[in-house]
Formats: sequence, C-alpha cells, structure tokens
Amino acid sequence: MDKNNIEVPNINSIEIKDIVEKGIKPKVSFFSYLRDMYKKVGFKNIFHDISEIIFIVLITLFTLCFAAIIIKDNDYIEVWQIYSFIFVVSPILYLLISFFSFFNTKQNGTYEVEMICKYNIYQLSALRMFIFSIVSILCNSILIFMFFIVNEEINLLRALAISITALFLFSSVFLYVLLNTSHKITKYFMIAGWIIINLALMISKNNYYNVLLTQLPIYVHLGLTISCIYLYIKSLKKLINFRSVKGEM
Amino acid sequence: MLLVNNLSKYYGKFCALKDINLEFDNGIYGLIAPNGAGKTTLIKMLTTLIFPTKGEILYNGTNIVDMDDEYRDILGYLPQDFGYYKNYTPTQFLMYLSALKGIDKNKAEKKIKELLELVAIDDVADKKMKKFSGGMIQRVGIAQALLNDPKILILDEPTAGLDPKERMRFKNIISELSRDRIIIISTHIVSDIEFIANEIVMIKDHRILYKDSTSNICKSIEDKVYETEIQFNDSHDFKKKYISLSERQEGENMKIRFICENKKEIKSTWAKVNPNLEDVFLYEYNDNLKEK
Ligand SMILES: Nc1ncnc2c1ncn2[C@@H]1O[C@H](COP(=O)(O)OP(=O)(O)OP(=O)(O)O)[C@@H](O)[C@H]1O
Ligand SMILES: [Mg+2]
Repeated sequence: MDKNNIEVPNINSIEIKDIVEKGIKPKVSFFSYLRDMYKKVGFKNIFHDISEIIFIVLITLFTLCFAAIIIKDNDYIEVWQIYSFIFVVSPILYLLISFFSFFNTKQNGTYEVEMICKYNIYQLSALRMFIFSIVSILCNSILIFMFFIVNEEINLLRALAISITALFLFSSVFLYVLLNTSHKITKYFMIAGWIIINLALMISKNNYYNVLLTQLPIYVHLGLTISCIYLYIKSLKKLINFRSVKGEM
Repeated sequence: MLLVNNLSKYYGKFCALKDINLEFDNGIYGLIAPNGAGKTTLIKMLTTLIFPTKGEILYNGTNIVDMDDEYRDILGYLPQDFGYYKNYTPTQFLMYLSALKGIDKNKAEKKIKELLELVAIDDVADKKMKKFSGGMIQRVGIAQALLNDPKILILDEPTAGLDPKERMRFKNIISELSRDRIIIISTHIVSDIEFIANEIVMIKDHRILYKDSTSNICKSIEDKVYETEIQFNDSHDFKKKYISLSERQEGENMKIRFICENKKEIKSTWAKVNPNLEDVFLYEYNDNLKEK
C-alpha cells in the first residue's frame, strides 16, 4: 500500500487536547497526586501551624512514655497486656494531631478563602494526614522499641504489626465517620468508644482478645496490617474528592 | 459563560432562594438586595462553598461542582467576612494563598507586589495584619481575590469599610479588569456599582426581580419620582401619603424626593426628576418606608 495514502482520522487539536486531558486526569495515581501537591504548595505552607503540631506531639509522647514506665514497673503485667496497650495507644497521637488540625482550620476565619483555592482544605488534609500517619508510625516504633529493650519477651515484629494495624484501622474508621456523619457527638463517641472498649477488654482479661493479640500467626497479623493500610489509603482518596454538604464537616 | 439553572436553596425548611435563572458573560454584574435577601447564599453557591438544593450552575456547559479544582483555579472570591491570620504580613498571607492556589513561587512574588501596589497597601506590605484598620484588611481581601488572575471574580460587599477615596480606586480597578472576565459584586451601596455595572441583578421574595442595565431598571419608575419643597410641619402628613426617597434641609423648608404613583395627584409645583438606582431600590423594598 502507498504510504502517502494512509488516512489520518480528522481530529482537530482541541479535541485531542480534550481527549488527552480526560484520559490523563483520573489516571494520576494517589501518590503522585500527593507528591505533586507537596511540591507545589511546599512544606512551610502545608504545615503553617507546625509549632502547634510539634507541641501536641511532644505532650503526647511525654504522656505515653510516662504511662509506659508505669506499666513496665508493674510486675503483674502480662505480655499480652503490653500488646493491648500498644493497640490502644497507637492511634492516639495521630488522632490528636488530626483532630486539632481539623478543628483549627474550621475555627479560623480563613476557611472560606482557603476552601476556594485549587488545593483546598480537604486535599491538604489528605496530605497532612498521610504525613501525620508516617510520623505516628515512627513515634510508635520508638516507643515499642523502648518496650522491647526493657522486656525481651515481646516479639518486635508482632508489636509493630499490631501498632500499625491499630493506627490504620482506627484512622480509616475516623475518616469514615468524619466524611459520613455530620453529628459532632458521633465523632466524639467513636473516639471515646475506641479507648473504652479496648481498655475494658484489656482489664477484663478477655480470652479472645488475648488470643487475637498474642496467638494469631504473625503472617495473619501482617495480612491484617496490609488490609488496613489499603483501607486507609482508600479513605484518604475519598477525602481528596470530598465535597462537604453545607460547607460543614 | 456562567449559567445558573433553576436554582433553589433551602436551609432546612427555610427557603432562601427559589427558581433562580441567571446568565453571566464577561462584564460587571451588581447584585443588590436588602439584608437577608440571599445575596451571600447565591454567592456561596457560585463559589461551591455550599450546594444548591435544586438546580445547577454551569460554566461553559459543565457543572461547576464537577469541574472541582479546575473551577477553583479560575475563581477569585472575597467573602463577606474576610478572615486572615493575625500574625501574618500581607505579603506572607498572600504568599500562603498563592501556594494553595498552586501558583509558582517566583510568579507569585511578582504578582503580590503588583497587587499590593494596586490596592495601595504596598507601604505596609511587611507589617503584621493585626495592626491593620478594617479598610486595610478589606484591601488585602481584594488583592487576595485577584491572585490567580481569575476568569470569574466574585466579591461579597467589597466596599464595606472603604473610605470614599478607596471606593473610587476600587471602582477604577474593577472597570479596568472587567473586559475579559465575569465580575459579580454584591453591595448595599448602590452608588458603588450604579455606573460601572453592565447589569444589575435584584432579588426580591427569594426570586430574581430584575436582571437588566441600570437605565432599563430605572425606566420602571419613570414618571413617578418628583422633588418639591415642603414645610417641616407638613412633612409628617406628606410622608404618610408618599414614599420618601431622600430629604434635605433647604433654608426654612425641606426638600423632599418622593414617589407618586397616582398621576391625578401630581401638582404643578413638583418637579419631575430622573429616577436613579437608589430610587428603584427604595421603591421596591419600601415596606416600612411610608410613615404610619
Ligand atoms: N447557614 C444558614 N442556616 C440557616 N439559614 C441561613 C443560613 N445562612 C443564611 N441563612 C438565611 O438565609 C437568608 C439569606 O441570607 P444571606 O446571608 O444570603 O443574606 P444576604 O443577602 O447576604 O444579607 P446581608 O446583606 O445581610 O449580607 C437569611 O434569612 C438568613 O437568615
Ligand atoms: Mg451577605
């Protein structure tokens, strides 16, 4: 066939641009979206309230260390109760920072001007929470490592898996509640619920809970951890595309 | 083109706006209506801060809610209560907002310098805003709305708190900008937009009353506006009969501008005058203006 005879479909450049844009936009992956936002907005602007955040982190870490020391000094504490402690407190740091962060943004009179920016509060929050979760993992790991040094009965891998699972399980539920209910009470209730239910299980020495934390094969724990991370990323994606009703959250 | 299609907004059972249909092309649109008429409600829907109960808003055929960040990218907005960070300087605050708008840092620096000069606060560009007066804050707000050179500029009572000189400057800035963008301004100060707006939108009883040029709207009360001098003692009775639009002292007497709807009552001592937008406003929303 003659090369010059090949028919070129007649699409004008605007249509091509349209097609390209429509095709590409949804394909940007979650992580490259976050990376892009991070580069454009910059650390200083994403964390313009960094001093408050650092303050919260320090206070929380201090309190948790204090609690850990008390537990360590108590001879009647069993290993599974340490796991349980880790499970309960792992999300707390994350929770406090995120909660403060949302509360703060809504309190500010700047809500409306920030909300109509290209990267608005929901998108920034997704990025911030993602970074918070990494910070939380690091802090929790340090804490666990300190436990490990004083008490070698603990399985480091299992403790880390429990900690990360707890963090992401909790934050997925936290995000779900944040995005799906407008009642403030529900939000507080679920936060209090998390702590109370777990503490109750720990104190009552519930057998299933014990088994779940200590006897489950480690790969099941890791599997759970990965599922929770997946769930968490999914809820962050939802946050990015979230459009609040009434401008309320 | 921005198209508002059969828009209704309810807050619970309370109806704030009903069956609104509007069309905005490049140019200036003045949104005037009394307190609580729903101006801010309409503006918040145009900025996707709240969502319509019914109906939709389209920009070039696409629903603005679906356009999402693409829409916000071409939007500039000054809220009625403009909030800011007290410990920031105007430059810092505008740099922060530019970053959220995804504007390149070098470009932003240049633009911010330009804008601060435009609204004449370049001399305090690096002072903390907690020391600013209300009018200075308002001007930071106006500058902020222009950061991304928006195709759609929406200002909710931008002239509130500005002195006459700054209002004049504002008018000039806006007229200059209106050539290639949609500008929607809500205000109570009718004179601020009377002569610069291409069209005036008036809301009454949750619906659009007028969307027309100033001169066409004024035609609606042509032959109804008069001026005359009366004695102070007679003013009470006079105002019972006619809607008073403005009054001023003239020697011993009072010069009154008023509406007379019944042609038979017209007296030869009255002077017919050309109605202005403020007259229309007072006439349309006159519920409590006639003295009882
Ligand atoms: N979040 C809300 N919940 C319930 N009602 C509201 C809400 N926001 C506004 N309204 C009501 O809707 C009506 C319109 O309010 P809106 O703020 O749009 O008026 P406006 O024209 O901007 O008034 P102003 O000139 O005072 O700024 C008012 O009666 C107000 O009470
Ligand atoms: Mg208002």
